[in-house]
Amino acid sequence: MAGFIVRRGALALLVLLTVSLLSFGLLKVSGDLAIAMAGEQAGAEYVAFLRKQYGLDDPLIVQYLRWLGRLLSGDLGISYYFGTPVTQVLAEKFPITMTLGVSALLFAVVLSIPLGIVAALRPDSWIDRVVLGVALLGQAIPTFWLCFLMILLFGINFAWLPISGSTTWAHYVMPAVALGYYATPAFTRITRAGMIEALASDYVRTARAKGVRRPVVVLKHALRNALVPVVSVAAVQFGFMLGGSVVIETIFAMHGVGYLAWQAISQNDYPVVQAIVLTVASIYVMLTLTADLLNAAIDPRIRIR
Amino acid sequence: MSTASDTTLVPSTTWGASIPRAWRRRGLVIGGTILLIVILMALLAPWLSPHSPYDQDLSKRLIAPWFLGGQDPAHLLGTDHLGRDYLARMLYGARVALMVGFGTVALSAPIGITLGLLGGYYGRRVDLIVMYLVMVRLSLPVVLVALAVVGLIGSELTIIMAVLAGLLWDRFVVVTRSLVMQLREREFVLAARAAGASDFAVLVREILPNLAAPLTVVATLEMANAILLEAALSFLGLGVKPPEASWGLMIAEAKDMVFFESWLINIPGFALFALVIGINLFGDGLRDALSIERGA
Repeated sequence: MAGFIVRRGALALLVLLTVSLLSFGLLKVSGDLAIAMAGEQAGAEYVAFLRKQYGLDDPLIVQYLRWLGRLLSGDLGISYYFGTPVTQVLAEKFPITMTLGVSALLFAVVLSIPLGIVAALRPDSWIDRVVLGVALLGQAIPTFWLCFLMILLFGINFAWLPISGSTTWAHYVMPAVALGYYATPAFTRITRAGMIEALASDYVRTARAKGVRRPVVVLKHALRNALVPVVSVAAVQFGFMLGGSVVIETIFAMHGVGYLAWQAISQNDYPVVQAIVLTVASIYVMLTLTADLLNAAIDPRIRIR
Repeated sequence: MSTASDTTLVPSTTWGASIPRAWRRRGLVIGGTILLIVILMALLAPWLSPHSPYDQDLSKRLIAPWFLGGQDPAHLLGTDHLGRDYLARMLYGARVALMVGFGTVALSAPIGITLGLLGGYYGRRVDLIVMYLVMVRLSLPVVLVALAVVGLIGSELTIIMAVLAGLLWDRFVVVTRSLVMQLREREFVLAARAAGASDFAVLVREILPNLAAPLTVVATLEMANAILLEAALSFLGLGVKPPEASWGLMIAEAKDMVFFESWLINIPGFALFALVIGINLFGDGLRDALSIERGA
């Protein structure tokens, strides 16, 4: 187990370093930082002074290492647009996107686990096919169209839910559904496959033979084992949701990280863009690392590979 | 490799044996028909609509489409807020969608398949490098990175395709790699190697043809993915630029009118939805047709 943790951890670290290198590259490609800091009208002398001051004349590798050092001490630079530290800008917006992501994940899990179980109980039946249809729709419906359909139906027609902002829990309902619905196919599929396997296993047959009633067997014996891979999928999907909330946040005017990213890209505020890419990627790497270690702890067979 | 990513990387339109055969064939026919209709729409755009997608006529703004009681037979799908013919814009938008779909996959498939062949065939250190590349790619948030790069270097259609291709090759790698691992010890591969075939010949002539069916599914899946991503980029104002027509851009242009003229959003929205469903159904059906032919 120790060997597995070290190997898996080293890989995660390497991936994080590569991502940091790519983010640094994005920032470098985005233009001359000295000119961006000095402003359009600044004289050539001032720009040269800034360039020297911030070490922008140094070799790229030196600049990268310095940037990395600052990054590790929590300094992500200054936003061109807000003029405040990027970490501060991010910290303000992050709670909204996190709340949205967690609610979306909850919605996806609550919708798809029962669907997966029902489909697995009678593979090939009409109910299985309906579940298949729902999963197929989840993949094909463009997120932004789904948002507008919901806005029209629940926001305007019935006027049940607010259509923009993020002040109350009601504001999160439609965005969370839109974001979570895209993840339901993955969850449904993995639950269904896990349940079919578990229901055919010896321990389920033994439990049935001992006279345990079917609902108990399904929910207690089979489901518990089928849920193990769901944890991994949840880690991956949560990472995707954080990155994918851009469209939804702009439609519902929720000022989270996604909206911030869109704004920052439009305004050429690349210190912020780079920080968001880096943060979302890091969260993804940490989540999948945790899920892998958890799985290895539960299932010894994984460690040997 | 990490189990977390393995579980989700299998082509996800596959439900294996859960769909009866007759249904799958129906999928091939329905999906193929939708795809064919959209391709014909794109190819025949200038002949299907007498209007240009760019010509504005402010005296004919926001005419309703025929199914909502539009009274103008010259504009079957009505006109937008600038009086441009909506049918013409839909047809030219189909061109963009298909070009992005086919173009992206044409670029991303060679990258992914090559990496997958190398990793699966040589194993060990080569495979480690390939899987490391896949992990890096997976950790990058697709929408954000695509937006950032397109915002930086420009939004011409070729750039959009290249950026999307640079982000959508991972599934090709994972599927190719795992299949090559199963195939490399099979008799026909060993026989070719014993007969003196080079690694390249074995990979291209013996192994690659056997991957056609599963890779078809990945290709269709990624094509649908690319189309949805282009629509999202254009919707956010960083993809296809006005006055060009893209379904995502059309939705963006109509979003302020969602309360009054919701059909302006629903027509391109439904078209995207139908095209993606069609591509997915077609891919699943084609895979089955191919694997039956090969007797697998």
